[in-house]
Amino acid sequence: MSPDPSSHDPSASATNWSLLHAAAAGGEESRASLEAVVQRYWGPIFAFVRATGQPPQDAVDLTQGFVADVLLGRSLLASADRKRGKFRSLLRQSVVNYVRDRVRHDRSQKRQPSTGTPQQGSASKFHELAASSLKSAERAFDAHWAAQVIRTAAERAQARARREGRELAWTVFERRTLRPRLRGDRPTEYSELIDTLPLQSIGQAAHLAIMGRRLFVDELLAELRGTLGEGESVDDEIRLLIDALEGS
Amino acid sequence: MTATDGENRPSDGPDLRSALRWALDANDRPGHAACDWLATEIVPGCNDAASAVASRTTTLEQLTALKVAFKSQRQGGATAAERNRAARLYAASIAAALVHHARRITHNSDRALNAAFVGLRDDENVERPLRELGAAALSALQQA
Repeated sequence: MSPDPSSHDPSASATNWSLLHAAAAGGEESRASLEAVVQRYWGPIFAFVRATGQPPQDAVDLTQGFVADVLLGRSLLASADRKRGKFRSLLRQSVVNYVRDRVRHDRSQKRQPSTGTPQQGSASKFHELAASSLKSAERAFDAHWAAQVIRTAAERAQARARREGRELAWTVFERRTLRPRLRGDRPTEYSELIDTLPLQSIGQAAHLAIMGRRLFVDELLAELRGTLGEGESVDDEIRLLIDALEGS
Repeated sequence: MTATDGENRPSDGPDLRSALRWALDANDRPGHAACDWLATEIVPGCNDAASAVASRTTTLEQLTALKVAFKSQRQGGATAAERNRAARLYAASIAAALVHHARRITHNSDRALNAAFVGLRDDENVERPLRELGAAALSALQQA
């Protein structure tokens, strides 16, 4: 799907790179894009921080700090570029570096002057985790990233279905397949769909369900490609995200 | 991936991996994925569209639903490859009903059916069981 310049909801229309560039442009017009960026990436960032062992409130503070200091305050958005590789890796490494720096800073602040022994707290917890299971925190980031990409693709596909007059296909797909996959809802039986929607047969309903799925998959592939660097394989990215979800 | 990922099973909680597998499937097998998805919607547990149509255990009701769905896909598929694939499977569904259930599930003329079954039989890009179904349906049509 090509971006819709008239849309007032950047998160529902822009690909990842175009959204990042719009957010980095500055000025009043970039505000909506900035909010969309924060909304889109808060979950993976928070998941990473929590997985490092931070208590919930500390994790919120660290996530807010990262968003303010790095995502919005420094040049991460401006420097985000397809030529530098996938945005997921760039953002994740930035989070790792930020949390590590903050923890080191906190440790030095909390160091007891007489003994030099750090107090027990978030700093030492991250230090321990960095040595043992940083990988699991990175997997948590990737799993939440995957979930966010899927949610964004679903929003874009639904908006596209509405624009293109394919609401019925979307409704059948959503009730029959998407909600059960995304939320664990009971799949709606075809007989029930035929009773409640303007459908005449299972064959017709199945075709519409697949049209809806096709819409969703097209948007999902576009969304995934929109996060990749130049020349990177979308298949490799999908396999990696499936692995991350399996481990989450 | 083939379509055997439990599309029609009752939900046992969220499964985000399915969505990513669909994307992988669509990207790797652009002409086939949508038809296989269709088949699993109608014949739960089947491996793919070809096996759903060719199986003797597929019911007449399911073949009729497959025929309707593939006919729609033949007209509304996203790509030429998808539409061509759906056209073959549409003919194969009618052939399967004729061969496995001795029932005609279409109002198409003998002449149109003959052409469709010959096309199915002679298409080397189609799986062997479907081509055999085309040949058997031709015989059944000529004997009727």
